[in-house]
Amino acid sequence: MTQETFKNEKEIRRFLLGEMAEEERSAFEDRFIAEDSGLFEELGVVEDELIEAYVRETLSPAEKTKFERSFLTTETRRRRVAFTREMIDRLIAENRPAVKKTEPVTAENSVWNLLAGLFKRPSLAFGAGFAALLILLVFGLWFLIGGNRGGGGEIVKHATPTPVAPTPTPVKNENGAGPANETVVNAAPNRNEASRPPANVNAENINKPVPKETPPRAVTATLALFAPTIRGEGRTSELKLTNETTGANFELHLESQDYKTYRAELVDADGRTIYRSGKINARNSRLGVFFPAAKLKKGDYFVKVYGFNAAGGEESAADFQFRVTRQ
Amino acid sequence: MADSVSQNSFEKLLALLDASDREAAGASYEALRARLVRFFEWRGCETPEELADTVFDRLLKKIGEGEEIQNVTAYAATVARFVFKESRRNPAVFAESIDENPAAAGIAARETAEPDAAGDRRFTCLEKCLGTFDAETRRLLIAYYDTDERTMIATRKRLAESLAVSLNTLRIRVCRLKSRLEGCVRDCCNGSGE
Repeated sequence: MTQETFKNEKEIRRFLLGEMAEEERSAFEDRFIAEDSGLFEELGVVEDELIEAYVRETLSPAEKTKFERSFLTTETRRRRVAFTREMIDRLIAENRPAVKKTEPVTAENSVWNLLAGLFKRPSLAFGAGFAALLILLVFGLWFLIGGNRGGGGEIVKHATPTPVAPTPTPVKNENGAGPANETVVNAAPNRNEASRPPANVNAENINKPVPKETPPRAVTATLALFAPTIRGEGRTSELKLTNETTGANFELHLESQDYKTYRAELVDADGRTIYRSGKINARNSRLGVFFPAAKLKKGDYFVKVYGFNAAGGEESAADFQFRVTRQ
Repeated sequence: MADSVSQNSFEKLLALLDASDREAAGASYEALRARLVRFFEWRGCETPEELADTVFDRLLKKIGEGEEIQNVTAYAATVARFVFKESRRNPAVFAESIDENPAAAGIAARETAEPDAAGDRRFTCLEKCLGTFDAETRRLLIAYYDTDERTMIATRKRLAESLAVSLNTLRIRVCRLKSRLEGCVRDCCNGSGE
């Protein structure tokens, strides 16, 4: 099957991705401003679909680079991308059956603590016996399968299927004790990173409620980074990502808060800027910024932070370094 | 006096757009303005609406001076190109002053001071604006967007067939709906949609 396209579709994509030379571009602009209202409408459609493809990460690497360099150059356009992402997430959410909410797994409420609770309550003596049996069974299976990896984490992981997820717990080591720059990788549902759905909505069932498969879970990692002069100690912080990780929340600890607003750039080891944040407000010399996991391959990265001075100009405020590992 | 000259020029502009039907001329004016705004947007300008208004100011001035304009949209395209070049040479003149735009200042203040609150507000506005769409329109949007990259084309083609329209017609219809929704959310976030 071939996709039905507009007559000018290729030309429109070239225009939107900044591939036209100035003369050709001017002639094209004259057409949509002065001559061809149909062309203008098609432009809007193709632009929307480019944004959607960017959000769904289906652009080719070359197109993606062009899109980011030629298209994502204004605040208005970045907002349109954000809007598209939120709209799609919201529409998909509306088409999903309600997810049963359960308590997130925390230190106080883990599988182990639940099992321990069985032993603590005399009225649940039978439960205690059952729990002991369950533990034996789980460990037995684990040894049989040859599980010589780390223990408890795996059990907890399998015991908490999607979409129930623990709450992210960024490391906030304010007093300087303990490991600096440490990473906590946790699974957390993220409204803006709703996973792509299976395609089981079609023309025939538009008027019917659609049964859905369990959506793949959205996993967000969290990393706290500290300005080198605070607690860098020459160590490179590590961000551990899995294939399920959709993004990483960074908590950037500045040496001092010299500006009210900042923005952050993600730069790879070759010095290429691969992601730019919008304006961020600092609180207690800390900045929160989210980077999509798709931007983060295995390797070393820098987060460059710029502050906005009173005149609205940008000044370099801090640099952070971290390393991405993939599991 | 100046106002009456401007009004006179504006009437002449409308007549140039459609001499026989004033209502159609008004629609043409709005359509031309929309195209100019997008022209400046696609040129990477931060204040496309202001620049589009600048184009019309100059058009009206020329009309007021008695300039004979044969093809007003082509003329507007030429003026727009000049305005764009000037905006690049002297961005300060065309930059929107946040002090002069309380609405913009309000947005900026909200978003920088409370980024989470801004996100929540957008989400609330999205909910509210989706709520203004009838059930059939919502189902159409859901059916169109709740797909994945592998099956997207087939899904949308089937959807178009079920609606007895071509795929391109469906694409345009959804684009218009999305544009309507986006405008509603923008107005709501700016406080004007409440």
